Amino acid sequence: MPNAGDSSVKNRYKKLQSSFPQIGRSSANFNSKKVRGNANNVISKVVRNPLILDAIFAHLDLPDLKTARLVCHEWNDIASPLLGRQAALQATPLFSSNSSHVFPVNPKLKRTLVISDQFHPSIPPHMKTEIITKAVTQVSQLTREIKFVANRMEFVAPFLQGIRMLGSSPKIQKISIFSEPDYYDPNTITPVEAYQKLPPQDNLTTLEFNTLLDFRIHGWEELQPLLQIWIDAAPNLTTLDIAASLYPNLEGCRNLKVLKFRFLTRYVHVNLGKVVKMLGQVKDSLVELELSVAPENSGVMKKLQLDKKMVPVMSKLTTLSIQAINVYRILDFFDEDHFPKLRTLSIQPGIGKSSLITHLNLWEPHRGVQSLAVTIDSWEEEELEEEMIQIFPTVKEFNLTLKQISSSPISRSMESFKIWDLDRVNVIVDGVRPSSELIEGLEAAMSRLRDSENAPDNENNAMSKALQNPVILDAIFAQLSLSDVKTCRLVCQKWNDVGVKTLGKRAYFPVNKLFSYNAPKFNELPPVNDQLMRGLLISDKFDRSIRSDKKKTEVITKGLTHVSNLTHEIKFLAAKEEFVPAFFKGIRALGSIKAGQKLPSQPNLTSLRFHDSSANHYAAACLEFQSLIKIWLDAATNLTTLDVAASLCPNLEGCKSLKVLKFKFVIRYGQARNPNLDNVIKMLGQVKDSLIELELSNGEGGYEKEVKI
Amino acid sequence: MPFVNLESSDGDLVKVDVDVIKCSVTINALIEHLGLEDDNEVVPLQNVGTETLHKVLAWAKHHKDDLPSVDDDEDDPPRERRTDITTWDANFIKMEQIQLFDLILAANYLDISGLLDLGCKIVADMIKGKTADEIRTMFNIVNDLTPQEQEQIRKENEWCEEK
Repeated sequence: MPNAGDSSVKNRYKKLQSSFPQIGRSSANFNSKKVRGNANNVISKVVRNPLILDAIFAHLDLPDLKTARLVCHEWNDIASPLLGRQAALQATPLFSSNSSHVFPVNPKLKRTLVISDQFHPSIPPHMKTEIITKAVTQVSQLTREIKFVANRMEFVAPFLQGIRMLGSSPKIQKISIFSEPDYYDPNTITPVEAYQKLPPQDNLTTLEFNTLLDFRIHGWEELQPLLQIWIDAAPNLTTLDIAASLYPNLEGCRNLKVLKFRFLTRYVHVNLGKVVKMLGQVKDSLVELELSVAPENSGVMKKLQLDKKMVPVMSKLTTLSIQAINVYRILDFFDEDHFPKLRTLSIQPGIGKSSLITHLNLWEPHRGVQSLAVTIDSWEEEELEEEMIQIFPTVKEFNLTLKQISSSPISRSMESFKIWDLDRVNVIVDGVRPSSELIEGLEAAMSRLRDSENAPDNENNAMSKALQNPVILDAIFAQLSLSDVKTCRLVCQKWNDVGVKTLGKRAYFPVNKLFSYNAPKFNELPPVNDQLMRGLLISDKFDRSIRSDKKKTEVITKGLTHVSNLTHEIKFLAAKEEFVPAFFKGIRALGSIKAGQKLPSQPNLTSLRFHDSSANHYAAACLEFQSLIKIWLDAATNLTTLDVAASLCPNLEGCKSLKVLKFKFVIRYGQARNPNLDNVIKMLGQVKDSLIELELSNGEGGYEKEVKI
Repeated sequence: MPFVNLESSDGDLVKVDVDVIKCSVTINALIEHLGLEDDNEVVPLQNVGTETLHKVLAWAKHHKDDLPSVDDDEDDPPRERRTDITTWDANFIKMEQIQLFDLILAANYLDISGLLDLGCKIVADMIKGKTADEIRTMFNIVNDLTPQEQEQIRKENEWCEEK
């Protein structure tokens, strides 16, 4: 730190800058002893200040924290408690047979202790149970959490014995018990006296019980007492997280707020009666509940019909998560009467065949749910959206996860969700082909919410003038995203007039989607604003009612009859070879020349783009593609721009006015990795007198073949 | 809008919007304690040079409208504090090491937690992946640990594992 009153501080800094470059990268490299003194002064003030060090170390991970402990005493003192918070200390290997005493450990590291079957190599098998008990005595006043890895049943009794020796003084807040045995020994029987009551653990608030016993048919029941003994000893338990196949008795859990119940074993079904009984025991304290099953245990359960008096009223529950909707099927339970305070609901299908709508049928309308999270893995059920909206009419926050879903019906579904007055929407798309349509649909839904309140105010004259002026509107819309422009079309007639033009210029219109059997007749199409036909998209996405390839090719040809005087561009996604002839048939029909191989001459066509998707295509497609390009090149007499990404070299003989050529060679499996340079040179020679701009590249291809008129 | 005059350790006066410098707990407390009689009130900062003070103020100005950070609970895991550095902050913090350390000291002295945290992230990045020896050289720290103590720490480290 520069001293007060030093007038040449700036000079000094300059000197420092030149002689004191990146300390961090290389080791310090000082030229002048004087400078060294000052620089070191500043640095050492920082790296010896406990508060600053604490802030620095907060950004370090385990390995770096460990290293920091080795730097000096001061660093060790500050890094150790931080390490103690981040890490768990293995207590069992601290004991070895060759020394009578336990290896001493910095008490700050004992915040979380692990009691496991990892022993010091010197420990003979017969001593192991004794070590387990001793390891528990490592619990200090600073210990807040114990993790017990109960992989061997014979360690359960010595562990509990150690706990008893501690009495009720320790400040343990959390106990985690894990059991992932490599084998199951049916001969090991834990003595009954091991499960005598534990001294009360007043500080214990969180209990985690996690078993991976799924692979064996028997034996999980014997962990029940180990779980129960802890529950009974913890009068102030607030959080219970069980992943096992056990139904603990929660009668004494007067303060339990969070219950996570995951049923594991696949050999038996969840006993819903026992689950409901368990819930009844904590019905007046529980705030958060999560019900799930292991993936393997997802067979559809019969619905549980209980005597009305048996079904508990969860009077304080605000958050409910059901992660296996085909398992937890309890009748006359999911409604406002039984969940009066419910605000946050998550419904996840779990693995295997499940039906969201069947689960929704268990619900009565609930007007309290404000946050809803749903995972949808099938759109088979047409009324799903309506059902959701009817049951949960007051949703403000909507989290939607879409799994393995084809995109087409989504934007329609999103329309329905607009009824909700949503403040927040989160959408996670899982395993869906990237679809701009999907995103647009969602954005439209959201921007509608956003903009509906900002509609133009007619009382304000200047503003209303501006917002009725087409030129200004056009400029405004130019700043908006596509979805916002779509929303703007809905504002008023004028906005629609301007917006539809903006939209037509910026978006392709998927014309083949117009055709469906749902329309009154196949040939009668819903009317579409001509302005939207500026860019036509002929893709491989069809209305769901159009299934056969034959119908699809028909739609492609018919789609081109929508080319109007306003159409400037056609984008053709040649996803299937059989669609190509249909496409040409439509183009030919436009030029009113019947049949024949040649296309009608296209004097206005100035720009062509061919992008070939690689990899998936068989080699023969390459040849098809060659002729596709040729047909267009022959027809476009005034072509100025050509953009090709494919594994072929087009013949450019007729392209007398070509000015811009972009050529990207796409590597195709099973073919040469590089273009035949002779062919490339030949191609360039054909346009040597007209070309102004040339771009050659090599790499992955785009995904579409595109044609501009 | 009230102003306050800050005097750097080099004797330069800098007039600052109180709203900008309110992120400094130290100055905030001073102002509240002394009260702002008029705009000519001078707060001397013996530990902050002019150049560093201007840097601090540039940072404070940019973050003037940030929401106040919630104080970390004693028992919260420290990793919660690790958030990504914004582009602005990343550009701001690109400076010579000596200036960086000056800035950290100033942030600490003025008690500006956001700025201190930013500086500390950068220093933490310097430490990451280095050996204890490299760290000592980098920061010119004398190794005051005996070989026995180092051995003890190494062993303890071995038994500490990810939670």
